[in-house]
Amino acid sequence: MNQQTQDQQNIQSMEQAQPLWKMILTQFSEHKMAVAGVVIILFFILMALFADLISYASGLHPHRQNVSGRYLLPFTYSEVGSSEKETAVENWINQNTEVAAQLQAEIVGKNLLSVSEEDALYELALMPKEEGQEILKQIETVPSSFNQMLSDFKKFHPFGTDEVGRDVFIRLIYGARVSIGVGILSTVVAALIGLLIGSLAGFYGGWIDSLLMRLTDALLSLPLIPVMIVIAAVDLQKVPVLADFVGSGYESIIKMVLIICLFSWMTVARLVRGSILSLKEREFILAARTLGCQDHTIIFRHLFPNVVGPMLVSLTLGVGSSIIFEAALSFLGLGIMPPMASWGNMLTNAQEVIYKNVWLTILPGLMILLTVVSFNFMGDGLQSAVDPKSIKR
Amino acid sequence: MIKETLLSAHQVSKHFPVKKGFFQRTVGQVKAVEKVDLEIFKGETLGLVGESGCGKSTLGRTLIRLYEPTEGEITFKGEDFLKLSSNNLRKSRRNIQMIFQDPFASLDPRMTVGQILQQPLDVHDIGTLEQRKKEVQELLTTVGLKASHINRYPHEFSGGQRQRISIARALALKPDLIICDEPVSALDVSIQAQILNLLKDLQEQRGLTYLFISHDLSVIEYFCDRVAVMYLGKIVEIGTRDELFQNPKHPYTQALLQAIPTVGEGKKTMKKSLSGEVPSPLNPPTGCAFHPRCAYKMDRCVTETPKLSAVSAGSLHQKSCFLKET
Repeated sequence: MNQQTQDQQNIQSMEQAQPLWKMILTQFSEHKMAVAGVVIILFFILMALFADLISYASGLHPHRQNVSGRYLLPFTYSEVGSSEKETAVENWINQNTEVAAQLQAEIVGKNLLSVSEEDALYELALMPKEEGQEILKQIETVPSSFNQMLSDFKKFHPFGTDEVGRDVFIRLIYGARVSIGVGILSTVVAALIGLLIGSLAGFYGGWIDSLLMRLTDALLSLPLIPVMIVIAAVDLQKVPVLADFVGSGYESIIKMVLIICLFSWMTVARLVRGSILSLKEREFILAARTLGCQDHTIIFRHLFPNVVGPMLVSLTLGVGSSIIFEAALSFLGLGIMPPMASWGNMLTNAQEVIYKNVWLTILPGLMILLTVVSFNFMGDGLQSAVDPKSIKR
Repeated sequence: MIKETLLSAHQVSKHFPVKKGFFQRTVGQVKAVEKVDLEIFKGETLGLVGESGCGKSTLGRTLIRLYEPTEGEITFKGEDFLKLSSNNLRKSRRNIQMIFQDPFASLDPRMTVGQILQQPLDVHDIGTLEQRKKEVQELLTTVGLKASHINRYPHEFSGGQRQRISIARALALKPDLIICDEPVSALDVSIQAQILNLLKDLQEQRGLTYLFISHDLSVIEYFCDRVAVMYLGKIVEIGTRDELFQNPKHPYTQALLQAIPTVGEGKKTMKKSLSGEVPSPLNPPTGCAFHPRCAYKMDRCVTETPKLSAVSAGSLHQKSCFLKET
């Protein structure tokens, strides 16, 4: 009797046991490096998502060049050259004629600058920032667009500038967008291709299996980098069907994703085929059949959950290698085309000044390293987390 | 006592094509099961014994149509089992269930025990969700596990416990016939006895019929009412346990029985042991498949194939051998 009530209590507590995903989460959180990896990846992804916001808030622009501020060291300010300042002021006056005239009159009228009305704004723009601010304080209403223009003349560069004076910090952030985006997108597409081909080969066997697997072997035996270089050199605009789908702005990104997909679905296909082949003969599949399960139950209830674990792991690891492929091709000048920033093409120009300006190499390199290592650790953590044998009570 | 036939197989064969090369040409046939006649009576335990690779498991799986037989007829409860559409087959399979050899491979590692046991009820839409949950708990206690084990994963159990789960799963649909495919050969000897006793108790309580596949003669002797001996895809002798163990008629059965190790008899007898290997089922010997290893080989054994026939008129003890008396 006592035993029975105790059993009842046990059942009750068991009914409220954690669902599987919670157990996986608990298991995953025990892998400290994997958690660190996820944090870093999330940070980078957030950074990439809010790139526009960061650009707006900091006043830095990933494509804005500044000839007079090339190769600046980290934590320095850049000042726009006087001729650029003059053109900027001229443009501003032309755009805001009335406001400009008012402002000019006010400056000369209050005798803040001893120049003619026409030269007043130019003089203001060319003088050092602090002195200019002193003068502007004495004016009742300064148009915000004018202030914006003045502040654009002087920028703070936390990571310095590159060979055409673009800010490295904001380019790294926009580069994250491209590099992580290409990495994840191409891996997901490659995984879908691999899943399809692998499961076809595994389920049906026979000549379908032979054909698909020989194709896979053939692609695996190609020397990757040379073939990728050749394919990267293809101009998509000239390919009849593809040209319609390719918007000119993102052509290099789409091309990158296509190339990486083309060469990375094979590992997933082999993995899925192998798992399905071994699972198909496992006795629990036969048991399910004797229980009267239909094919779809067997596929979705028994095969899929057992394949998805290893696939998830290889997917995560795949993102790392996709990012490296992208960086390699962009580094060779065949991937993402400037002015669009990617970590790979930021390295291209840096190699020429590697002794003079080391940070130009180190920073994008560090980003690639951090991301890839984080993804790998995450994959590692997932691997042990999705294995039901590792669940502890 | 007139015995009611539950399942009967007539001239059932299962051949596996051997495929080779890129175009998957068929280069041969493995005759895993060759023209087997078998009757299983209601409430009995029929043992199926033979060396590894003789086709015992294949026969078991063919009887439940996990493998489609190459030829032959299978009748289950008076119904032609082979003509069933896949939908009707699923319904009919409620009455035949299977217990597998490897308790580590026969349970889905990603499902909890509760899910595993509830699945058959879900598939056949039996009862409400509440009733199913209750049924699962009852099943667990029936096979000697705790109802609180319901949310555990298979890897958290020992081999014997897993086999209990397998048995519970087979029982879930309240079948008439359970095909036990070497259910104890992967277990420790002490555990074997527990599982065998559990199976016996269940048989008494629920009136189950077993087809018990094993290579272990002592287990067969302990557990079975009737025994069929298989050699190279064919049944060479079939009879009640006592007939077969006391008075084996086929030379192969005799050799098998002599191979059982005995303890403490005091006298050392020179036993005739089987020489040679089991021939490949890809290319079986002509005539009687056993003739290359048989001590009583006659000329006609090489050319003619013996049929399974009664040892004495009207007896259910049958052998397939040309020898009059051995």
